[in-house]
Amino acid sequence: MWLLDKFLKQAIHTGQMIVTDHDGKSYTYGPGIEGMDKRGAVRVRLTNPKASSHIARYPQLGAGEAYMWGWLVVKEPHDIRDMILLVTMNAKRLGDDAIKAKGGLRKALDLLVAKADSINLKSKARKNAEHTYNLTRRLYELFLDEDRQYTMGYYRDLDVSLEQAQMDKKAHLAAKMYIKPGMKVLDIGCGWGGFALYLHEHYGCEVLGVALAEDQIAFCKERAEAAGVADKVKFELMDYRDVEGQFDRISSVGLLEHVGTPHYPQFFEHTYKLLKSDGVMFSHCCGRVGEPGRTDAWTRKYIFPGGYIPALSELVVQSEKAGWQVMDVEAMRFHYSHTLEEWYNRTVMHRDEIVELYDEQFFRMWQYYLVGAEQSFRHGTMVNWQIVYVKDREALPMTRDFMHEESARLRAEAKIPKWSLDPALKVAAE
Amino acid sequence: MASAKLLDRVMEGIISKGVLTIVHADGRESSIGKPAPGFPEIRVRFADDKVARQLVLDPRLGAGEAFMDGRLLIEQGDIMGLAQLLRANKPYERGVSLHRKGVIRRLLDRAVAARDSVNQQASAKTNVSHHYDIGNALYELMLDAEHMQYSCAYWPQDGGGGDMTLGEAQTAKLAHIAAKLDLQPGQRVLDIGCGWGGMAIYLAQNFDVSVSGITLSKEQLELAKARATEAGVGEDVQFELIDYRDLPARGIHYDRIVSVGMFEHVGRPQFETFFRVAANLLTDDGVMLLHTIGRMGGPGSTDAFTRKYIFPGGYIPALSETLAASEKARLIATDTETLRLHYAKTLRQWYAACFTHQTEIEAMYDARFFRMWTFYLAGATAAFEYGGMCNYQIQFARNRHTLPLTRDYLAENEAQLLGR
Repeated sequence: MWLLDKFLKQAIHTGQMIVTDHDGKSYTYGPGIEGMDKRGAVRVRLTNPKASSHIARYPQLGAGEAYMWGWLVVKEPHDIRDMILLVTMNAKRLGDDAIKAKGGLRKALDLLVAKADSINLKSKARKNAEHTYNLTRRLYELFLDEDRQYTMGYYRDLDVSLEQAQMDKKAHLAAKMYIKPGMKVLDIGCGWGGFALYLHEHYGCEVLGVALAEDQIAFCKERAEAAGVADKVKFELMDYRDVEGQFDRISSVGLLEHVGTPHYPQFFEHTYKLLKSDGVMFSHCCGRVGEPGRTDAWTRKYIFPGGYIPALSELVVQSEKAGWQVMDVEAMRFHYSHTLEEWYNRTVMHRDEIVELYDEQFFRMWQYYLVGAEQSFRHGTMVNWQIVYVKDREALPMTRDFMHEESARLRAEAKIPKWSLDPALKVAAE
Repeated sequence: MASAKLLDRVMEGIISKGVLTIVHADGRESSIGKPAPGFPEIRVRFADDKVARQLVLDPRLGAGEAFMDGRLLIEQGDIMGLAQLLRANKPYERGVSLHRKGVIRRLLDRAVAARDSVNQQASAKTNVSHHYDIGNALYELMLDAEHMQYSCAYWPQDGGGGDMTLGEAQTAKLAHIAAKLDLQPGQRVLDIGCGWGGMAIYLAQNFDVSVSGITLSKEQLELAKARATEAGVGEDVQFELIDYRDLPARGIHYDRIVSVGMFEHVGRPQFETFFRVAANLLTDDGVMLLHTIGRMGGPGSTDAFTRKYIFPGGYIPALSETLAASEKARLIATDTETLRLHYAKTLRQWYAACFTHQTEIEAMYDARFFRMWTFYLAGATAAFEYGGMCNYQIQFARNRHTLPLTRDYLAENEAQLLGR
């Protein structure tokens, strides 16, 4: 316990956390809960003699695994989210480096593994995408919004529903793409097809959505059929590197996180070939502020194998080499932490069903992933980059006013669906 | 004579639309290209047989020097038209460079550019004086009278912008930047590279803020002070002759930093210093707006003519290297906008103003200076219209909590300032 004890003593300066080790000994950290948490100190129990050293030795991976394996239990009324947010809020006070201070060798090793991991060969890319998205569509239905947007919502106001935030997000993205009716659009990494269908609905454009997860594509096709637009909105299970033809617009939302740094040149070169000379490409992805870094061990191992969250300069440098002109970059802050908080709430709401679909351990892994991501957007260094690229400087109007105006127009036009699994709706129905 | 033939061949490789007629030193005429709508027809005469050789060796420096010296005479059209004819035939977007240089030439260029742009504090001052201490009178004749802005104006009227005056477009630029600064009452603002004080005066007139403007040009400093007093904001605006790198030692922090058209003079070796100093000068919730000419594509080097005659020590940054340097100082690029073509419109206005005042400018300097100056303006215009130049506006925050969570405030602030 001494190593973990040392870390927590240094780390916790606000709030309070009480850790009870497997042998029954209790350790209290932090000054108290005044002004913080009416529910009292966060109480944590370690059930396995190896838990404390596992957490202390592998700060990023250890706590997650300990929680997943049931070695670390958070006592009610708190849960794992409260614990993580408490620790990371304190870590932020110490400065961004405090939480990842490691020896030179350890760092070098981590970096090496991260590099090797993010080489996405085509066959491996599919395996990685399947790892994440083929969990079954039911799981995603349980915690995502009605349109199954698996990227951040756009929270123009903190009180809005996730459904509204996702609708406003689609409006914001579409506005930046400067789409005209009848255009041909390619959506790389189309997910469950919501954005492709949205673009067709609002602009009547032809859209091709591609993704690497089989069940996503099957689901997308069903949706297009059901909406009667299957001739205009097509979905294919294919690597974007295999797409051919010419498009007026290209979008990729939440894709570059999976592409991996070694493949950025290929991404920018191939998309450059696919876009017409007066076209516009838009990409939205998670980003890190500060310098290039690496993916943490937990996310690499359990959540997004092969993924990497880029610094803005890393994207821009490769896009310049391929001939792209960056027209506009908006750093979206905190929208993702609000989104992840709602996903977490919806996940916890469906605990029993998720445990039944998988098992306890999976549920805890999922919980830990969501809260880990939330904390990195809330207290860490994660943001979202929304980038507009062109090949020709005359492809867009002189000013950005169109983005602002079109986003507002689309928002006003939208009908916000209700979440069909909303407990309030169920109660009303009964 | 071999170089005259060679030059013809080079030009034939470049010009297919529009016409360039060259009257060589021996009287031989070669006509290159074909008339095409939107492309000018230009006739030049070479006064001696060295001109062709100079052009073959280094097209931009050679043309610049021959034109300055009056040995490359334009008999039909003007230097703006010539620059356009050459650039428009090989736009940046087509990915073909005007002149492919040999490896040694490129290495040499890069070495010279690197040496020139080191910008130690002593040379920084000399470099700035070179461009700005040539006398305020020239700039007063060329720039907008309202704000004396020597940087890219903003032409929001889509399509032409023809119905805006240069002064209105510069006001729109100041409003566009002020909106991005998200100013709050009582804030302290630092303007790095304040020029003749237009930005500082505008901010003090429109917001309850105090502004410190710094420059390395004595001539600018004096006129900036006089203009602030005349504008009635002498109390809220201070100007000082000081290197930005000397400021952190004072321990004063600023809520906002604005730097317009100064980063071009910083030089690549000093990028990290610039951002480190800026980050240290900002308060914890400070915001900086950087407005700079930028190059599309990756890092490059400053061309020889510009380096020699116009901006010694200058370097036009690529977006990637600018961002990479700022990331090291932990500045968050919260908003990045690329202004295209706005600078070309601005330069065309300056070019026209120079010709309106040609007699006065030639009387102040001489005809050679006038030709050098207009060559520079014409080359820059073509670079923004067809070459790889643009203008970046990057907003930086130190803290993610600082700015509103949507960009709505930008449009709102701007509309309020412009009374729209």
